Amino acid sequence: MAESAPRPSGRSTSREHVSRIDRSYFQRPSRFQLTRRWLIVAGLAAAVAWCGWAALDASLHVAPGPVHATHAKWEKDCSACHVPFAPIKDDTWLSTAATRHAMDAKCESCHRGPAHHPLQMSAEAGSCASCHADHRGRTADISRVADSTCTACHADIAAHRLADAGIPASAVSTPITAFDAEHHPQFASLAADPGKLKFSHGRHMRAGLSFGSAGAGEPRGRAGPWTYAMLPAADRARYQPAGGHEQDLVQLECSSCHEFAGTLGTGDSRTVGGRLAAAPPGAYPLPIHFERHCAACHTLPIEGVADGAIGGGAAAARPEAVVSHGLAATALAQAIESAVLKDAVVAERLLPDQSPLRPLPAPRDDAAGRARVRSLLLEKVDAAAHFTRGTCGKCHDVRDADLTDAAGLLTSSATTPPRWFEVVPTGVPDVWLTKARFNHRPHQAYACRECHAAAYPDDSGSPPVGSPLDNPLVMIAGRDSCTACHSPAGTDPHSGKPIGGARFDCVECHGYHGLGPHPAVAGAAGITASVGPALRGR
Amino acid sequence: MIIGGKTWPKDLRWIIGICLVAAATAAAYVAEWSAAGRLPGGSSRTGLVAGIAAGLIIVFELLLWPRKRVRSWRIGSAQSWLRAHIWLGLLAVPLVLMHARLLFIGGLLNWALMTLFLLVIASGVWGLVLQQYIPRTLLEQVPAETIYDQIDRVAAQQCDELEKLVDALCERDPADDSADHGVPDDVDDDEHAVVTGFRSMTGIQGKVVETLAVYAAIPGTLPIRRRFFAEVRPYLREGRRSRSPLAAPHAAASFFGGLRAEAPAAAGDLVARLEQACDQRRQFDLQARLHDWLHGWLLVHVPLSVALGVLLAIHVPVALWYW
Repeated sequence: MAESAPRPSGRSTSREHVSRIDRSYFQRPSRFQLTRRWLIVAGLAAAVAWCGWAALDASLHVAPGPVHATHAKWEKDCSACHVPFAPIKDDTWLSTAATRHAMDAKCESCHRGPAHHPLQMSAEAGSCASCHADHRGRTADISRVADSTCTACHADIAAHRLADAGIPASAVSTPITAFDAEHHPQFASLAADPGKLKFSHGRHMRAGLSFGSAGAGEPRGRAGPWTYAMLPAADRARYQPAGGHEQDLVQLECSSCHEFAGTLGTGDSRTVGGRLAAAPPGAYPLPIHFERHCAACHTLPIEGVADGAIGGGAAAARPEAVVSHGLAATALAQAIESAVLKDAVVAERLLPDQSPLRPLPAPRDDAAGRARVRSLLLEKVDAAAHFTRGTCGKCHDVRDADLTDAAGLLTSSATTPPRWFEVVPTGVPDVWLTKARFNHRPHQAYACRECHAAAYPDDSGSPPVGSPLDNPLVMIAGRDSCTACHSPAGTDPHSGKPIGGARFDCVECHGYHGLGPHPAVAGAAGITASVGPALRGR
Repeated sequence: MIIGGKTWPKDLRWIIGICLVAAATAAAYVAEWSAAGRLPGGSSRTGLVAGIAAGLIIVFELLLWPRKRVRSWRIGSAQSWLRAHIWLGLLAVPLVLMHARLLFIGGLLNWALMTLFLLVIASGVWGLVLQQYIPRTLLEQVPAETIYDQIDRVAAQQCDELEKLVDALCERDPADDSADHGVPDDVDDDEHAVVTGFRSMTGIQGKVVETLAVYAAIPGTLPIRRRFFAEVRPYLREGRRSRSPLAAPHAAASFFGGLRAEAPAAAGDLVARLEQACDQRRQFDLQARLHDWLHGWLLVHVPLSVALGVLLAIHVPVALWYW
């Protein structure tokens, strides 16, 4: 375009006048064409340069995002987790059993990842990365999977599990598609209290633990409500509130007995289940411990030895007059016989200094006398055992038991093993929600009563005497108390207040791998662990 | 290519076709989304199919370039190729978005690829919109349209002819020492001059070569000579680049009205020719501007398409290597 018109030196011909354009203009690239050509070269060069840059840092250019912090070491080592040309997820058409096995092997080299359920159809189980997608940032929770990964099977679980005659159809027929009253069943583990402990929360939550006048089953020698002055000095400080008076009625709180991890005293050691031991600190209360939570009021006196002994103070003053809690049948027999024998020896002043460690005097050769003494002692043992059985039976189920071993000083020589008794294990669960996890700590802003209202005495003013044992009652509110908060955010149509808003996805409560063996197929055998300093240190 | 008019039935078939394909793919995508509970990515079933389809479409789109370069290819008409280029390119948008997890993607290479794709699509759509309106504007407002690359040449020729005419018909400027202003010496030395005239017919303005009788300079035309060389000539040669007020129609009308009032009646035809030449120069300017709009988007569309092709060629093996 820039060329100027030719200027003929002489006269122009009419042909030249008619020829207004340069007839060969199309043979030369125009400025527009040249510009486009150069831009194409520039675009090509830029793209190739970008590819070269990408080759130098694949994690920046190829990875969809930073990996989780725990995988950051392998941020630039793609082959640490990936297998070339093998889809890391199994929801692609090119996924095969071989590719999945290869990919999962990479994950399982570090992560155990146990199977979800023994009856799970393995072909339906997704690969590791199908649920746990990484490359979502350093702090992304890759264990928080979508509900659909659960409901894919649990919406129709009967069609997604292997048949097992041992599990009733009703147990697996409930479709679960969301956490609300319509799409999620009530918590199965709260259907009934499996515990064998006789207890009344209603009584123990009343002021003064008032039982009225002394009656059957009441500790001898006392009547009326409990005051803090009646408690042993060591326990008084624990139960009596600051600023309270010793003559005030004892008022227990939930935390008086239900202690959470981290509040254990030095030397406190108790046995808990594996699930509780594995739970985060403060997630669940520790099991009730007799010596710590009951003995302040309840002692286990030996009939005929601890006359009138009541309360923890008496137990501390005469430890030989009470039986230790939690003894097995044989140990219990030995303890009672030993106490009866020592008491008999002391009563006859055979040992002036009353030391149990001093040797007995040499036996006299008096067979009739020995038989009589033995008979008398056995009567006292029987009476003490009968009383102790009643004492145990106040809170526990008690059943007959045979002493297969030499039980003690008096019964070992019997021709036939004597009948004795044993306490049925209480079986109170450490963790009630066996199929889900719960953590009290995030809920500590709520009053205990909001979820455990049944543990509180009614306010009707009815006399406490004769209040029924409420141990068959499960005092944990179920699903509906959870959905009040764990539901979509909304507004209460009645009060106009905001409701819901807390997370309510499946993994908020349920775990796929980490909740241990499924009770339906693995039985109830729990892993026990001693919880003491190790737990306190967490 | 203009969408609509006589070709509308063909376009309608394409529109229905891509809508059906996009809707079917979207339905499959939503179904997979609801089943999985999360956005399907490029490796998901729908995402992979959408990605493969989009990749093939992009390759097809790039083939338009060699199709135009190698005119001997007889694989469909150019119009069919262009129509397929347009509609398949638009179909690629939802396919790519579904392949790319609705833009919830990471990685600079992926983002570069996506950015290039969107820019290419945007520039293409922009070009398509321009193609709908600018040709009609050219037809209506530039009846004297000439070849874009020859605008300066044609304008220079026209200017030279008018210079000869002015030199022949206007009085010499005594203040000007130069014999002429570089006027080529092809004015008939006695009584004729050859100039370009214009004729309009059915809205199209065509050029005709006219031979004018030139007897002698017209008395009183010195102002015309002076203003021609001072104002008209620079504009005719440089157009709007001269920043002349004659580039504005109203200013030009005022200018020539004054010149006409100042010049003798015998020079009226000369003034009319000058005004007509300025009008045509304005049309050339408009044509150049419209041409830049009409084709300028290609300066973005084509280079980015080439870069897109390169990155796509890298994306495919890399995505399959670690996916």
